[in-house]
Amino acid sequence: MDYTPRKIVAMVRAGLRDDVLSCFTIWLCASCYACTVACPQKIPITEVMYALKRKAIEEGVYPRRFPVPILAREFFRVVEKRGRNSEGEVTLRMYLKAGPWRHVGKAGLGVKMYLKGRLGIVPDSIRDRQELSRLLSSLKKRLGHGRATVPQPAAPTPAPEVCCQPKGGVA
Amino acid sequence: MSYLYYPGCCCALKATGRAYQESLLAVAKRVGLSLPELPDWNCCGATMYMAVDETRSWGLSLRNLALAERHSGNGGVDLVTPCPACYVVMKKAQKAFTDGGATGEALAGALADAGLSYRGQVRVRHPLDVLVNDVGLARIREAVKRPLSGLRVASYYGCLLTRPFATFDDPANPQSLDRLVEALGAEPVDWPLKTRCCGGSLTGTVEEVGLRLAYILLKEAQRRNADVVITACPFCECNLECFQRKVRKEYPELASLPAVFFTQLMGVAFGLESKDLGLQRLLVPLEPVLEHRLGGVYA
Repeated sequence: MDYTPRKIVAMVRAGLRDDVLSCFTIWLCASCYACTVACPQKIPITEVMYALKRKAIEEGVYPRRFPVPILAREFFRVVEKRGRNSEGEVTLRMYLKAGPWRHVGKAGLGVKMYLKGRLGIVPDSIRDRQELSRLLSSLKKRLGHGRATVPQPAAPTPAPEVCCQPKGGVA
Repeated sequence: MSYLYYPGCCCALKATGRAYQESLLAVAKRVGLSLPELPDWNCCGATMYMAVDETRSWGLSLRNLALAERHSGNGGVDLVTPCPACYVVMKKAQKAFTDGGATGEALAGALADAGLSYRGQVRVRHPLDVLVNDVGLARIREAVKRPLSGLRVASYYGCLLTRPFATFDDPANPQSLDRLVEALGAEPVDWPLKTRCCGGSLTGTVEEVGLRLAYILLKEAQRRNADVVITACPFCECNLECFQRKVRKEYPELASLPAVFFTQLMGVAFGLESKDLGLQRLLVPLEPVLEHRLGGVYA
């Protein structure tokens, strides 16, 4: 993690756009929402991280060969094509693009999972791919790519003077 | 009450969470819960997809909701999904749709362009909620043929079951699984990491981060003398069970600890066949601890 989440928020506020978008930290957010439900200022931190991830992918400035953004892009592509995620296919594509020599050691687990019937070789597809692609391309036409903004906090709260420091009286 | 089942990609046939589906359907049948599968369901648009495009991930979920509504003759229906990630994304999509505005309008318009419509008649449910609150613990207790007396069970809820939407349990200290464990005759382990992050897909992408998160959970469960950890999520189960060998290589002081789907443990208590519960698919077998605690039932 190159910056703590608190630093990320401060850097966004300070306008350090390029540093934030090319950092590793945003990709280490597993989207567990622990921070979001705990934040006394009701900042939707998980959604902020998602928004930064989308911006980094849209502008192609995520760290090279870092597996997480590659996994996101491959997942997206496979779902666009087939309507479903095939774990085997997505994982294989990710490792090939992230540098297969660095991930050779992971093949063993894949084989074990396959032998237990827990890893498919043949990718799964939905039947009505046309219906889904009509829906998705219509959305793209209407809103453009990745264009959902960061949702606002549940109740409007004034911007904190010092980032993440709850004001007096806030539990 | 009418239910439709949405497996999601990770719990479907030949996926890592396959045993979750197998055990859930077996257990549901035993308590008289009918879960017909939603025909031609698609990916919910979860976490990884949402990191690329948010509105389109809602579009994916809305197709499933529209199909569920149409399948049930445009009446109300409960769409049951075992995966907490699907559960959260579908709820987010519902919220974006009903909140309206430019996004809501675009979603409704795109559905219409695809020949679909959604009138907001679907309730998204998790099977834990359905089993504990609709079927009820009394019915579950009646179905128990082989009480799990003496088995110490650490209930791991994971992140998304109660966050950010706490629909059926407390986000800080959820109890549904613990009550279920008691109903099965087993002993719930009191521990503080019920909803701490398991690492999600980081175990596969950034090992040094993911394995450590899984280790923290397994270690604490072990420190509190748990015999088994139960989960309600295909990612949590995979991280705690499939990656456990890797975790133990990194942290050798950790002993082997079975981690199974809560539905698998229910099935064991119901006396169902182990192959109907997908127990043979586990990389960390459950049988030894059952034999140890329950006196050779599985011998």
